Amino acid sequence: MRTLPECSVVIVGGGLASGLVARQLARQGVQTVVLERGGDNRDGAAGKIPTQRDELRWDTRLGLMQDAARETYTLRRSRDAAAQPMRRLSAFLPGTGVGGAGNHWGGQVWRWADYNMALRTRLETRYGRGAIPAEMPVQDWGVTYDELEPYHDLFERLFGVSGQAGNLRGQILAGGNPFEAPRRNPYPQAPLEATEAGLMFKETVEREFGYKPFPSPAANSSGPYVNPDGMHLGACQYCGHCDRFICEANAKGAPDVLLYPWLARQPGFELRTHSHVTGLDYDPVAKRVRGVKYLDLVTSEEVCQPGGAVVLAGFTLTNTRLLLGGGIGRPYDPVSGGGVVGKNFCYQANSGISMFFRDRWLNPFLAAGSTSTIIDEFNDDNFDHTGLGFFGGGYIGVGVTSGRPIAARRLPPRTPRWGSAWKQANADWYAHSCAIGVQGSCYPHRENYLDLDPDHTDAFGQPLLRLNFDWRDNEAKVSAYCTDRAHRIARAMGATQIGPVVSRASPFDTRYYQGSHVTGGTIMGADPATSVVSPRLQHWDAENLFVVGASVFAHNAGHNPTGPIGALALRLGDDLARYSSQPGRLS
Amino acid sequence: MSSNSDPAPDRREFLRQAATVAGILALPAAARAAGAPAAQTPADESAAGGAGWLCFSPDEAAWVERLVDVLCPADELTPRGVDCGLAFFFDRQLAGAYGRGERLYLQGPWRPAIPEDGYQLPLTPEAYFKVGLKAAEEAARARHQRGFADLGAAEADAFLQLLAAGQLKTPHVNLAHWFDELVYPLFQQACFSDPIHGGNHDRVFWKMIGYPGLPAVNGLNMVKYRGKPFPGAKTPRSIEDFS
Amino acid sequence: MRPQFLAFAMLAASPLPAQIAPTPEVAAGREAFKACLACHDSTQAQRTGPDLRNVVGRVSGQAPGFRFGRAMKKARLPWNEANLDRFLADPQAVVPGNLMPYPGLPDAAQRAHLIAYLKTLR
Repeated sequence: MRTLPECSVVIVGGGLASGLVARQLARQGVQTVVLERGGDNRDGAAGKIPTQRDELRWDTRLGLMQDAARETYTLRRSRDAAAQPMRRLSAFLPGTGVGGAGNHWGGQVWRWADYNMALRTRLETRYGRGAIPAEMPVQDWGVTYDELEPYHDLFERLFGVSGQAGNLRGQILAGGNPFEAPRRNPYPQAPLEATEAGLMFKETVEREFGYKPFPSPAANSSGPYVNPDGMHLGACQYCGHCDRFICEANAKGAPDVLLYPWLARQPGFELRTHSHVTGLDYDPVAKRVRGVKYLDLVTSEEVCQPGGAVVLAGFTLTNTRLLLGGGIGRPYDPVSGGGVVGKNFCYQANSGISMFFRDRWLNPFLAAGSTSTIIDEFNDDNFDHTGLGFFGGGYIGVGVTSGRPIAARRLPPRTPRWGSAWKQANADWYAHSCAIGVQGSCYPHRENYLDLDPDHTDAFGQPLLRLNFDWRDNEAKVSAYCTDRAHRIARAMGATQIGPVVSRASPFDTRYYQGSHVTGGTIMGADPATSVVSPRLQHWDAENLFVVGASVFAHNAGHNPTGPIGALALRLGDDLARYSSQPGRLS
Repeated sequence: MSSNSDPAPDRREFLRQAATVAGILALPAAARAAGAPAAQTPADESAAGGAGWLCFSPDEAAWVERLVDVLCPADELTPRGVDCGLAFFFDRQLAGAYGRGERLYLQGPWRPAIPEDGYQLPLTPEAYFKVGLKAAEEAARARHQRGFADLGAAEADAFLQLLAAGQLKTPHVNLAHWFDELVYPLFQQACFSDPIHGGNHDRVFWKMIGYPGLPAVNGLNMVKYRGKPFPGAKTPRSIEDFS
Repeated sequence: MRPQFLAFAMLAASPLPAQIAPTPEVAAGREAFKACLACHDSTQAQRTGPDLRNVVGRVSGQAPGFRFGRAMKKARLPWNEANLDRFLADPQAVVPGNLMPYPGLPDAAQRAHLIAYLKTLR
């Protein structure tokens, strides 16, 4: 193994979180190297008309995603079951290549309601000290929303987020989300255009229920935009090829448009592609990471890159896998409840109900990645859970984000699966259907955690990460409740027909896409007994090791994770600049 | 919006050469004059011709042609499945990376699984397709004393209904799983993917549903046609038109 | 920023020497051109869209260093003001199958301003 000269900061993973950390470091002149296992997709077929508009290639066949044949995950729903590999990745989709999942995301970006950062305190205060079940290890994150707010603001400005403010410095504004955490500034750009289905939803919920609908905040640029670094976004063309695709108009806030081209011009920054990180060189006596070991895929050479500081900023699951593989920190033990690495693994409890409107032109192909109209009345702890028997909730909305004809067609129940009647139903309903959806929270459970699989390996001979996960009682109840609320709205919207009403419940079904919002495994917190990293994202057992991404979330709220990921990454970048000049425990 | 005018001569030559490489011109002349609904005829009247098969044997090809003609009979909406390129799509997908198991984790150990664990067989899609096809053919012969390709239209459809519902007693192969895992997804992809992949000939399925295809540059359309019929939906364009 | 980078940035933003003020039409056109910069910024390595310096008077599909699609190359459209105006109003109508992800600019006055600005890009 060849060992390179030490670099001030070495970052594992070339995605969104890495790019944001590196941006802060580069602005303060700190030498940084980013190690990305994949290649660079810019200028490739994925981002150019006409090859971009190929649903089969990029969506059905997952052209941009992590190759399950080389690395996947195993799953067991209980400890007495044998784990099965997810032989196809379907439920969630890790990316690969420069930009990672930040290239193929749909662009929904939220600030979570402020109490989420101290969720245990919130729930105990509101519902009583004994209210949280023992098997639900909800905990405070050790950081406050107020500390993160400037970084949320910076992330939104860097990514040109389009939206309508709902809470501007405490003032509730009409048309925005009244439940949103207070913001110092409006969104950098006006909201995206609403869809016809979204307008129908808005009209119904206002008239029938008095809810407060608002446009989803979106990192789909509503107009031409220049960010604080002088990087440009084009105007979104509502092309309907957003999530799972790279934007051909440079209109999606993505690391390969906004971050890495800027970073490439900064002295002291280096991006190494085709660098597959295999492990961390950890000194358990000194409690330091000496460096990062990786395989150069172009030369098949093993390389060690020493770092003054090392950052794990890969996909959520990768971060936990590297810590477990490197023996850094105490692995979580579900029997005793002790240990920390792998604990509080959470997902997203989503559901949807199809709706069919014979007389309305819903044109699903006129869509951006985040053209959704949403209400937050039933999300998180925005409503009183007294007597309900669960905690958490979800946003409810009508999102029209794709009309791609292989996957986005909806058919009424009992439509034959083939033949002339099937064809006729497709012709009748394609342009006249949509769905009302729930994006639900997922709170931690003692039996939902990550560890290393004892039997299955990846293409590099390393153990696969094992997901120990199922939808537990709490999420089944959250989903049933929120799906019922969505159903009531669907009925009030006056559809010709409504599709099946199915909420999320055990057994966790790996066959259907449920969002890539897996969280946890390396959670942050103020107490080393119950967290892997400190509130500054510094590893409790390795002073020069930091972890960032959704893996540090102690729970998952009923919102997409990218906003908090962005804020935490930018803040970590500033902390690392401090650390580089003055190493030690950050407080 | 531009009309679908006949391409200039050198463009036609480019298309012909590109299509030959991709095998798109495997469709017989009858298919290229698609639009006239074809009667339900036995498979032997419409062999693939053109560029030929990369995956299927002649028997397998006949089986798949029958299959797609049952799944997509000729009617006022589309020509029969073969003439829409559906069998050709199956062949090229199963012969290509998908059929060979790209993105499929095929390492052991192997354990019994529940449906919610997804695909857990140590077979590539191509291999599984052929195993299933053979089992289905044996089931047809057992039931009807004739092969699937020789059944009448109504008989073949009824047979497929039983197969998809898991009501055929086949030793060893779970044909309902085979149908759900492979046949039905490939059918939907064949109908609705971009014609560059060999199916959806002449964008017939996109026309059927009103999907405009490319260029999908909707910055103005988003507002102009919100809630209204979209003019481009009747004349969809595909990747080929922009290549 | 390094001095050369600053000079290039100024070039893209304002091709006129600083002491000569643009006409109102050109100034309005420069504002309108902001919608094009995400793809047509000549200070960035040309990837999404071609360098538009000297576009007025050129033939379509000829900008150096850019890989055009077949439609634009074959169109052989002289980029005079009339053709630019038609193209910018509805790109797909004038060059069917072109690869620019831009829907067009319906307002004739805005197009005129944009073309006035393009003429200054040298």
